[in-house]
Amino acid sequence: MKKIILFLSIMLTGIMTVNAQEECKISFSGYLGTGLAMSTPERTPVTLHVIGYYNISSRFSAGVGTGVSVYEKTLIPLYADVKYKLSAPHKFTPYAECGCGYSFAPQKNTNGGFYFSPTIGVEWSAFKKNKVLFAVGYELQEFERLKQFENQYINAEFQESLSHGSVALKVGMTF
Amino acid sequence: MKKMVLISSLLLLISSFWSCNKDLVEYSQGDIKVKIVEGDEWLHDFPLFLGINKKNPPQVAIWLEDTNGNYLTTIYASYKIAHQAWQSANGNRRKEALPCWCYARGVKYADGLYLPTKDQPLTDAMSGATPRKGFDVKITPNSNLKKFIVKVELNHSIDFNDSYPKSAKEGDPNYSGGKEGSGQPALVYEAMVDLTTGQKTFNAQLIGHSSSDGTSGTIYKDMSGITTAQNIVKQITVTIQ
Repeated sequence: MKKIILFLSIMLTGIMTVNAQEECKISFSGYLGTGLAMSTPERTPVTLHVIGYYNISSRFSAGVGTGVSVYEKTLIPLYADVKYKLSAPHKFTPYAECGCGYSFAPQKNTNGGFYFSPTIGVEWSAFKKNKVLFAVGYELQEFERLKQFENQYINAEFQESLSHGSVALKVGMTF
Repeated sequence: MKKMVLISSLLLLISSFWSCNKDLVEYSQGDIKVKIVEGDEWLHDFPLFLGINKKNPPQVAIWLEDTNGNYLTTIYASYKIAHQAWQSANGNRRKEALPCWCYARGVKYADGLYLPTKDQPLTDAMSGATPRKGFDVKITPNSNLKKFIVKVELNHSIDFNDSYPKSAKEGDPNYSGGKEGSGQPALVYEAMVDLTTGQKTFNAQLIGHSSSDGTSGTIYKDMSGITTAQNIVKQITVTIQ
């Protein structure tokens, strides 16, 4: 049942994306990010994400993001993303954006978890077609990993639940 | 309509992933599960700023002793004490956090304290972020270890009450590390495990509290003055699978 839901969801998403492309309302952004760790254990994240948007209006976009996030483990996030431009387009256009979803853990002995990242930023029309993005916000990434050790007395294992909150700093570009 | 379908499908897609998570710890016959069931006071308010509080889980250490009370090995210790990663402690090393475990372990560091340091933390694989709810640890003892004691020590920071107030001064019998200290001292539970009897479940009993100022590893049986700290855990069991 889970697989069916997953398959149908992917199919629907794909179909809608193709239809959206026909209307030429698609845009993409790529972000390179890091952050200032706020939680314990501390871990400075490194993220490389790509977001595909469906431009619902000139100021409001919704889409899907994915990429790679590196914490103690490498994660692959998949999230819904909404973006709202706070003013009409200028050379510098402020915007608010929020991504919310789930990160997969491709490595063994790791479970993925909740991903949430609200940010505010500014689009800089530095080039004719492309815009440079600067954003700051918050990023929450949860996941679980197995910890194991062995000594002369025992083997021990436990599941560690990590919840990394950080001040997110991102630079990117629209395509 | 298309937008609705798109959004719905995305939500379905994302929500379906949560159910994909698996238990990372798998138990086989003979393995031992040390299970801590959280009580009503598992999470404790810790002030951040502007009156905003964060709910913090307790510091926890689990270790083994032989039947004579000699320390054998740590099974688990919370990340903050294991790595000296306290937040907002103003330099307090928090020796009053889990003194029974620290003294049982018996490793003295350069500053004379029995606490791991940032430079010499506990083995990383033995430490973890304390979960926001109960958790369990799997242990597989070697073939020679048939009788042993599982000890668990738990403590909240700034868990002050009338008997262990913030205002207590160093040297007072109820001093617990000052305003960034413990308040109510750490509590210690133990379960005597004997693998030769065929018994499958051993319930840990509360055996006392630790030194409130962290200056010794003594366990005090007098529980007067300990209030909410007794509800940090509901139950601790050691179960043979």
